[in-house]
Amino acid sequence: MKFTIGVIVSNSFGVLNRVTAVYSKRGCNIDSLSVGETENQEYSRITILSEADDYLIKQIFKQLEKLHDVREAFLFDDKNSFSREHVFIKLSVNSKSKSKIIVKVNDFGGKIIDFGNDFVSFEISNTHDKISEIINKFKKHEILEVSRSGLTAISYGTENMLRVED
Amino acid sequence: MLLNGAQILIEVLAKQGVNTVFGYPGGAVLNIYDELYKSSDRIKHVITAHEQGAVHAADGYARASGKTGVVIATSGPGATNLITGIANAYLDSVPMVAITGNVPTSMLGKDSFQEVDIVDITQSIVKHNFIVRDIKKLEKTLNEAFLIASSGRKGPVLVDIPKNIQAEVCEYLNQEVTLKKNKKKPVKNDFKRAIEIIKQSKKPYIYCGGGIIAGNAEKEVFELSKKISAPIGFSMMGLSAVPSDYELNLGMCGMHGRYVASKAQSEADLVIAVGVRFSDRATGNTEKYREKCQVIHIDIDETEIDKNVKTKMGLCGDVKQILSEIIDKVPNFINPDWIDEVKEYKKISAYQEDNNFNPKNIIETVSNYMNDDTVVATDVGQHQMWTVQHYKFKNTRTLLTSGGLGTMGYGFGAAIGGCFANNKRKTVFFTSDGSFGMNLNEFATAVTQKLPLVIVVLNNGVLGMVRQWQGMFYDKRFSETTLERKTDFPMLAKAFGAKGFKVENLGELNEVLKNLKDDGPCLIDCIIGKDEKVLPMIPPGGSIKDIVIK
Ligand SMILES: Cc1ncc(C[n+]2csc(CCOP(=O)(O)OP(=O)(O)O)c2C)c(N)n1
Ligand SMILES: [Mg+2]
Repeated sequence: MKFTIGVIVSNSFGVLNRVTAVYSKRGCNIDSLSVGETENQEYSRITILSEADDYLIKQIFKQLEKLHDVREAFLFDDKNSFSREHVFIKLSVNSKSKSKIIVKVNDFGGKIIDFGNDFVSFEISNTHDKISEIINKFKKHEILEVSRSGLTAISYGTENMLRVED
Repeated sequence: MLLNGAQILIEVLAKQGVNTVFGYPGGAVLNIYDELYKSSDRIKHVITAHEQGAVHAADGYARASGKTGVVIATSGPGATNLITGIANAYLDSVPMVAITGNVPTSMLGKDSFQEVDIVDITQSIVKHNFIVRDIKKLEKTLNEAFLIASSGRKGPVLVDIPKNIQAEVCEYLNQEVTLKKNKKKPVKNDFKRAIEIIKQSKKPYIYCGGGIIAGNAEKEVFELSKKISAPIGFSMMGLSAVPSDYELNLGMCGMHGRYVASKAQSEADLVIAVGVRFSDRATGNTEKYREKCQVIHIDIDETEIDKNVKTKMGLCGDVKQILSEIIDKVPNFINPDWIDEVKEYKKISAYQEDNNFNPKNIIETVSNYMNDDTVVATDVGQHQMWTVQHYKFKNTRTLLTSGGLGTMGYGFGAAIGGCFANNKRKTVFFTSDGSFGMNLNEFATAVTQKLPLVIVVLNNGVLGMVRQWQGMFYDKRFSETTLERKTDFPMLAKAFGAKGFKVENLGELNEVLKNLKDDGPCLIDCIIGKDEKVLPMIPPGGSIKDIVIK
């Protein structure tokens, strides 16, 4: 089962290592990860997408909470949160395929950011799964580069939030 | 007050109530040792023969005293020599602060002489670790290290201090630190539910681990046992928490535990597990474990609940507080049927009564010459199991043994630390030829420090525990386990400046023990057969049904 955990961590040396080790020690592969500063410079926020069974998800969540550097942890799902990933794709094109691709990019809500005679680059924001799907769809053209951001997420509403309460 | 980094370290040690540290000097900790030299009236530093001895000593000191053990080592090889000892402390949740020096910050990352990234190396075997790159953060970091090591589920914390940080100066603030982590506490409803479950139980059993000792809840366990007529069984880490002569103390359960302790646990309808993590050695097959019983799991560490055994309910928090609250609310309960049933199981024993010169009789004999507060250290192997089976523990914190990691060579350092923790009173160290060969260099420390250690070598000439498995599961192919070395242990003791005796019967053993003087270490080489077995045994992954008694 896929699962997404967000953690707020102190901004200290090696914290990313400590967090990812909780996954790797249990043989759990990380599918997607993003790290960013928060409004408070003492803390960063990490969002991690991975896959495991129920038992492991609980273990990983509790083990993360236990880390000294972790201040808060939150288990995201479709009902309690909104998530997004960003992707840049660069395709090789020719005069025939170019206009078709531009239409497709628009259909996916993307934006062209760079192009030449034989290539076009664009960006798209969507869920992790949707982006994988979109990349697949462009595979019939020659993909030159793909760069995906990690997944990031935010809770719905104001009742249960991932934030540090002092 | 302006102080340099090394002076700040001394101040923090003193502030944290540390008066004894173990360690070994070197280039990257010269500044620290210079301050230790000047502060020898405040802090006693014990130099060992090897950093591994020092880290095990800090561990033994912590287990015996309940305080946080401190070890200091230089960068590079000094730091890497600590690793086994840090892992050992981590797996047994022993509070420890390890201080390492490192090359100056400007030299970090350049493969400088004696540079290793000890923070990275130890990451998975510490509760937390730090490298201090800014002198202004040193005081706070050190105080935090002590707080982390000794709070919640205890464990080792390493602080790596580059050499320039030890020399730089800054204002010493004498500050207090607090941890920002939330403390877990069960809510009222949880207690209600737990009390209900306990009230309905006809055959309650209390299963205790090291968390009882770490959480100072020995008295509470004892009281709960009496109040609800529940026998108590222990994992190895929990032994010594309750006097062995208490009638409902069934001793150790698990792979080499007593029949009665494992059997009663399997027949119970409720197991109240306190400060214990259901390790595979103590629990066997975790699926079969729950066949008849419900489990209430009380532990300070939430990750342990439902980790190895599925529980009816978990109560996460301070075990002493939780137990007191339960004792308060649960009614008195007497159940003669259950107690009688347990008494029946007690009759089945793997041990024979005779006067042979065997491990049981040797350990019982030694036990008779010791006091209630005598600290007992062991190495790892058959002799360790025999010790925990047959030694008559009276006071809590008197057993120093490597549980989670099973570290051969742990015992000598641990005995030295335990002896310091117990005001240099008589300390016993049970070992065997294999383990003893690993860290016997610490004889030098014991002699120099004039420690009254009684070193009992259960000398079977083999790596007995491995041999036992080869005998049972590998068709007696005794691959590389027959040592039969020519080492003369009593002569070795003398070479180090200690006393040493070889004994081959109980009379000789009694003679040596009668004449013990507490003025320095004494080795007693007990020659035993190489085919003595540790029994009973529940084979790995098995349950009580698979127990081998004879
Ligand atoms: C450092 C280390 N290496 C290897 C082992 C594996 N091991 C477990 S028990 C044992 C034999 C111990 O022999 P000895 O110390 O003579 O004790 P005995 O079983 O004979 O009492 C070995 C090799 C271990 N536990 N620790
Ligand atoms: Mg041996």
